[in-house]
Amino acid sequence: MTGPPDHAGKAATSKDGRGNGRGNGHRDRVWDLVSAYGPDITGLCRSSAALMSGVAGMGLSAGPPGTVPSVRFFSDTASSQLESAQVTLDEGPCRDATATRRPVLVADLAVGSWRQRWPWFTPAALKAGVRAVFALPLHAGGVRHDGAVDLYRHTPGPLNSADRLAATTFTAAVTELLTLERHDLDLTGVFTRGWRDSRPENRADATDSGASAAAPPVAGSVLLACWFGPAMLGPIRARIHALATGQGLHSGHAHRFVLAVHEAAANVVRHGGGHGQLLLWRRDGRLWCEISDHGPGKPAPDPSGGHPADPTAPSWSGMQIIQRACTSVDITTDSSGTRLLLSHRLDPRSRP
Amino acid sequence: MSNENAGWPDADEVERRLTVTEVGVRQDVVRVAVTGELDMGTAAVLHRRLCEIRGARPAGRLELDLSALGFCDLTGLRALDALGRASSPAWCQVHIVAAGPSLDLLLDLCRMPRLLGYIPPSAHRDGAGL
Repeated sequence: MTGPPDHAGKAATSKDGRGNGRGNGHRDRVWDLVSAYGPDITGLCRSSAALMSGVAGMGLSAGPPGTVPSVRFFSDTASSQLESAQVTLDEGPCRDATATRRPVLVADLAVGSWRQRWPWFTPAALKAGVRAVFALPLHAGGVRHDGAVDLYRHTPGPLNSADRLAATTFTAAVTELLTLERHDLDLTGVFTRGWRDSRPENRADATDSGASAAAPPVAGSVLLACWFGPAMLGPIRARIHALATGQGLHSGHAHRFVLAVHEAAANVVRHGGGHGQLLLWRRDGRLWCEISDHGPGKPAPDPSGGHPADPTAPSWSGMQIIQRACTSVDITTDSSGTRLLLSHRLDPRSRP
Repeated sequence: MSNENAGWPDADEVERRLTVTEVGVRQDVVRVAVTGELDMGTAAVLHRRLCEIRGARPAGRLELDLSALGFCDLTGLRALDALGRASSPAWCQVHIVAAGPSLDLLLDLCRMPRLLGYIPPSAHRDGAGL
């Protein structure tokens, strides 16, 4: 990707021809936005008008589950007032979207019972010239945040399918960037140099954040970030191996870690929508790798807790390999996606 | 993603990543060397090439030398295992005669003591498969 992404709902079909509506094309598009704008949520939000047609104003209120969301962004004065009021007065579409965990789509605030539902918000919105409001809950990549993306329009009418897809894609990208904040990592340089438009080994700057594999990392900095599809699995393996050995993981353990990361990424390609995100960093004496997707989620584990004994059985997934190869594995999954956080303990003698 | 490289690898690249070569024939034994990366992208290449080799020599023992296989994942393991499970008699005599660290590691993590007659070093150590 060499420039700003196109309209968020445009890429329903990717070049490999597998995209279809809100399927893989939508998921690919989310990663396009994340890699292009991340980790700067404000930058992504500033582009909301260009990414979604007909949007007059946009607000983002967000916070961890169970907390009162705070206003993270507003595009204009009216959006600022409406966002703040929703948080302060505890009413409005954002609050309802958070509570119900479902989109709140109001095609026309001037009709129906919206004045009764939101006695303060509805008159204030109408006074500001807002006729339609759409609040999309922050739920993507297996993670839910309290709050919503609020889209304000001056003209009444429902979101058409293209607009809704664009809004859903945009909200998923915002949610992903909010989720990345939880790791408390220095992501700025990584996104700038992220592998999103070429094979990693072909880029002179691909190793900047880690690819001088032996270069000591800044505390909390990410060694590698990439957004991958099927063709990237081989290059990712090579890069992870170089970085892991560069960080002091000896050969046998490096191979185990590489295999674990590969199986996680292959699961994304096979079952997680085809494309995903990989982050690698070092912290507290371990190498950490998060592989995430916006696919349909992993099925619930066998309630008996057992796994089939035969690895060649179709029901035997790569998860067992991952669990046996790593020091720790943490899985977060639901219908919006899956995140695998893997770690491997480093030799205490390896440099920090 | 919206860039070309993020899609599926092209056919030429897949062929480059895995090489399946008939390296010798002795009486009714055919030795085949498999080098490169055996994974979800190249498993079909292995199957196709072995079918070609088997088609030319339908009978006899087929020995796979995997000592130069640089990487093998679960899909690759399944592709190898499927050879031994094929119903056709022509595939009953497929054996792995050598493997490298990549396959050994995978078999160890999968707790598989044997694959197509091959017993990894860890299984020897543990006494499994003996």
